[in-house]
Amino acid sequence: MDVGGRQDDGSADIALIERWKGGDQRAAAEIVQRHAQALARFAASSGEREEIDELVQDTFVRAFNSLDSFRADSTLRTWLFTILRRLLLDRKRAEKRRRNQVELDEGHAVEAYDALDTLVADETAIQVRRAMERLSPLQKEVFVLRVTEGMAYGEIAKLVGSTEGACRVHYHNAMRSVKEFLDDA
Amino acid sequence: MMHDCADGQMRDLLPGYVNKTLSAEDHAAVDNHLATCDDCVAEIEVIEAAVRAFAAPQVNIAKIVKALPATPRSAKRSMFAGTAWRVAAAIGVVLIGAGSVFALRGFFVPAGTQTQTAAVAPAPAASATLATTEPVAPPAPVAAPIATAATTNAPAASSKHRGTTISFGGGLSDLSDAQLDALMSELDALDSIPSAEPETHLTPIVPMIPQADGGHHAQ
Repeated sequence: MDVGGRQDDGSADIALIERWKGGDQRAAAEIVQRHAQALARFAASSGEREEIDELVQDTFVRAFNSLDSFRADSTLRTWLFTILRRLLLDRKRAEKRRRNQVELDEGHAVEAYDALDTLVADETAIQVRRAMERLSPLQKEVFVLRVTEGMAYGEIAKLVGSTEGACRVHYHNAMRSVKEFLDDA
Repeated sequence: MMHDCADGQMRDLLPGYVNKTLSAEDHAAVDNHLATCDDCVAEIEVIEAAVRAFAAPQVNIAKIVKALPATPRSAKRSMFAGTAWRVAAAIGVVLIGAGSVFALRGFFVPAGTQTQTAAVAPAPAASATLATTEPVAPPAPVAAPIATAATTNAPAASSKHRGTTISFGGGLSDLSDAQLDALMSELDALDSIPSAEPETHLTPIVPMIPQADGGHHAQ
């Protein structure tokens, strides 16, 4: 059973896509309006500090350029997240290569985290974010998509290329880990 | 110390509850459950803190929309407009080309009108006759000696080529037996190898003597 997911089955997006294909450019604006913020949140949660705007924009441009190939096997939202996830992975790989060439500046990394902390108003949120830094990349991804987007396990499984059951386990393990971190803090 | 609620199905609804994506029925069920479950209330607080922790920066929606490709229909429309121009240009080029060819072939010339057309007819062996012909027919008789130029007003052999025709002679088959014999005799009389040294013709230099009237006189 796939419970707790979003009630929107994507039919609104399908209608907007049809309108866009019919020549209505405003439908594109509505699609962006519906998903841009969630995509930006996902990008930020995956550790992106800068150029989130560009990442989200690239995601939409790529999606609209190949919208004809979108067969609605998954929801548009899942498809958009999948595109963004690939972009993020590409950036991480490029960053890793760059870091192999340039000595890692630890001080700079600490400054980036401190700057983010000032954006988060309350101490609990800061602690949760720090707790999530201890999760595995996949646990973190599943946890973020589940708690910040309310995605169903089935949708997350499609996005990360896993199974529904495995995503459920990842989520509960992540939640337990975060709770333990907060208890110890 | 935080614990996990034993009701797994209810726990699965908590993220949707925070994100307000549950149906009204599920939302009400969670509300009722939270009234009696401290573990789920604590978990709701963790979820809400996580949502706050990853509050995304505001993205520029207008900028993103501006960067999107045109709708397929408008793209097709503009593509068709471009194609129409290309087709029109191609038709124009073909018409101009066809018109040029017809003009060169004299299709647009009224019957009887003379045009200046140059044509090169096959030359008979060893004959180099330059002939200017008016509406012409059979070639001019090749009685002319070799290496001479003649201007004739003979009728053209072909009615297709009207007007002035530059010809280097007619065909051998047009010559009579007597004319051929004469031609062959002339050819036989020619040296196969020209003289190596042309004959020298010297003009003596005569000194000039000035005269009393201011002129000069040869000595």
